[in-house]
Amino acid sequence: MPRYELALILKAMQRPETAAALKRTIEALLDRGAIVRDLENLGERALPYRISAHSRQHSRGGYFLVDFYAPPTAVESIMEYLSRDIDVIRPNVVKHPLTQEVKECGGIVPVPLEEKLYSMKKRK
Amino acid sequence: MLRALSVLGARPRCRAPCQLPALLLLPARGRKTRHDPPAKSKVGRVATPPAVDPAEFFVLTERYRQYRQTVRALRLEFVSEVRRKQHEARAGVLAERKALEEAAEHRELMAWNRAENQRLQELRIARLRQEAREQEQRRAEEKARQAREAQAWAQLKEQEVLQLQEEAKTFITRENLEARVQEALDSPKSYNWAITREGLVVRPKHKGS
Repeated sequence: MPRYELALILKAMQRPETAAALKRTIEALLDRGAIVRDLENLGERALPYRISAHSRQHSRGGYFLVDFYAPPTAVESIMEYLSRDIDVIRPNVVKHPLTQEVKECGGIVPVPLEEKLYSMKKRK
Repeated sequence: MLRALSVLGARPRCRAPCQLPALLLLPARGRKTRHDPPAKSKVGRVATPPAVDPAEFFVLTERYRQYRQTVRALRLEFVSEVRRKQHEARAGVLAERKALEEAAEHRELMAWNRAENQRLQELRIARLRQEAREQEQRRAEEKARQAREAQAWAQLKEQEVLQLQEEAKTFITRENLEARVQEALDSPKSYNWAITREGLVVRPKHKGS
């Protein structure tokens, strides 16, 4: 099963409610046949911009990372469930970055800045 | 006469269609060709050959006879010499000796050729055997290498499975869900750090989140 990472932004709530929301989320994952590996808390912090979700505006949120193994067919249903959950501001499921192969960095590619300054089309 | 002669130069040369003799017939006015009928004045004319002098005739015939006899003798002599030479070249003693020598040489060369072929055949057989052996060796090496690689691959996969089994002990299940959630909420992690080339970790000095 491929390994996914759920980057979850929860509403800024009290601790028991956050715990309940997390528990709900992980149970939903387990119900859809996922195997949850780890749960990380990145702290409650100010969002980079005001986000509107479920007819409310948020400026603070709790960031959580869930990495799990899941069948690819379950991702859609997970996303659908999370989009319906009112405590979730923004759900994002991506392939786990640790499973991507490390590519050799090619260095800085020289960009012709002149082209970016003005158009190089031939003018009469 | 000059005008008649001047026609010679002006005439175009046409040898193939018409059959002219080597010397061009000078067309002169009034002369007869062989196709013209003889004249009336020549009717009853009997051509008499010139008289023969018997002594001269005799001398002439004798001389001719001797000449022809000599020439014939010489000719027969030369012809017989040529034929003798041909016969000797074909079936003479020297020719037979040469034929025997050539036959012997041919036999000798054939024998040498056979020997050479034999030698090359043996070399070829030896070379082919060597190549077969080398190919066998290479195949065996290839098989050994593949076996080693397969074994290494199997070992790698085994290692991975074992590692996963070890890690599986730390996974979240329904039983330890509550505990893990509380533990996660207790310990916030921050990925907001950098690393220098020497390996020193650099964290930001927070004034606020």
